[in-house]
Amino acid sequence: MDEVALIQSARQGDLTAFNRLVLTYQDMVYNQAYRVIGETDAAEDAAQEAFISAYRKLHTFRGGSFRGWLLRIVTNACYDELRRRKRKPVTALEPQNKDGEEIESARWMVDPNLSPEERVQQVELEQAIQNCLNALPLDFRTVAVLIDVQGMDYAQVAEIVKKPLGTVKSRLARARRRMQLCLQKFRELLPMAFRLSEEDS
Amino acid sequence: MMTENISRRDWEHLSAYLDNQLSAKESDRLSARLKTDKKLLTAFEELQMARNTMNQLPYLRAPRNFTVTPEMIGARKRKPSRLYPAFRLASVLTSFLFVFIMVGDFFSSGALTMQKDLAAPAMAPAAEVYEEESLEAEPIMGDAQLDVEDGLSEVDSAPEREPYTSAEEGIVSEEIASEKTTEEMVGEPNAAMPESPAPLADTETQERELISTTPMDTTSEVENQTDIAEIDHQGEQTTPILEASGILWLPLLKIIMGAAAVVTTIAAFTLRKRER
Repeated sequence: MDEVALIQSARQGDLTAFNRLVLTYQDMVYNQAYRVIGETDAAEDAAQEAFISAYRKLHTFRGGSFRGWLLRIVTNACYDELRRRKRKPVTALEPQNKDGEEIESARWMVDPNLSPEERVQQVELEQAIQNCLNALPLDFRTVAVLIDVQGMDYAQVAEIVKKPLGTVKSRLARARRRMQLCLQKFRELLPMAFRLSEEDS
Repeated sequence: MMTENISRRDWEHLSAYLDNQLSAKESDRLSARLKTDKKLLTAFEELQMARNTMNQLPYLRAPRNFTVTPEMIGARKRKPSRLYPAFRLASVLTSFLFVFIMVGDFFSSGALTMQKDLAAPAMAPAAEVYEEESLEAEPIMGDAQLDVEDGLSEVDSAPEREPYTSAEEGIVSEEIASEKTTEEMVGEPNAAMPESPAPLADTETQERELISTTPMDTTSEVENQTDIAEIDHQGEQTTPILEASGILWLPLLKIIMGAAAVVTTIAAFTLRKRER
């Protein structure tokens, strides 16, 4: 069954059809939530909340890109989740085990085909990028993730964040600039090609 | 750093140029500047590096399935109505009571019909005997001597009764018997029910036989007949009274229970549907 038919069935209350859409898009939704929030539990909560919200608001979907529509919902869910967690104490960026200790090697992020050294390097690089992302203002981060991680175009992002195209361009430029400055602190982790440009500068 | 002097507008143009989001005119102009301006080129490379780094981020797999369950939708959609269990229980109870009343009514009406059917043939001979003897009252009075012998023979067969020696004694015993019968009939409404038409008929026959043995005057006969008629009348009235009371409350109860069952079922169904 194609996506349009699944959406139509889900709109008529078919939860099975909706869950097939969930299985298709859950990685994308979780990625967006995790990159914006930067914390696994909160990202899971936001992703789950986004799908529940999507099911409820399915009648408002007027066609077009279902992916974009979902990303808008998950972005709003992330904002809500961050607002909700603002009152709570700061949690560690790294995943924690049951005893509350940070897990050094986040195996759920690592490509199993890599060597142990490469795995460690990839985890560290990824954590560095995530740390830099987390250091961005939320509005900048959202735009940067939507464009540079999810691969959305400017117009779609403008629709998702409900801002003019110029604002999106501005936020993205500033987000990239800040990211670049932040990543210079982790130069040794960056791939050689990325380091060279910094050495040149 | 070399890129510190780059204007905010240039950063925006560089970023957009990176994503091919500039117009052709703007893009050409910026391309020309990048060829000549080293600071601008360095800024462009920095932005490119930042974007490529973010593109390096692995695409994470969801740690679990985020499929939505009916409980999630139901629990979060709206609070379950507290009225639903109440209406559900009420609909079950009223339906059960309605069926119970219908079944009870069916069996009770069946029993009454059977009793009437049984009572009808038993009552009919008694009425016929009474009518026949009423018509034959005068001829009976004419054959008083014959009846006296029969009546005495029957009275003799009854152990509790003394032999009648005079007409006066006969009249007294007849009155007592008549009163006793009347008292029994009135005191026990069920006696009027069709179970005891035969004893009633026997009593009447005996009374009439006793009457015929005595030289009774017309007044006593009339009184006697009036008493019997009253007894019959009471017996006829008792059953319609019971039926009338049944007619009043039983169908009303059936209607109320039926309506309550339908209303509560619809209410429960509607609440359930709304919750979904």
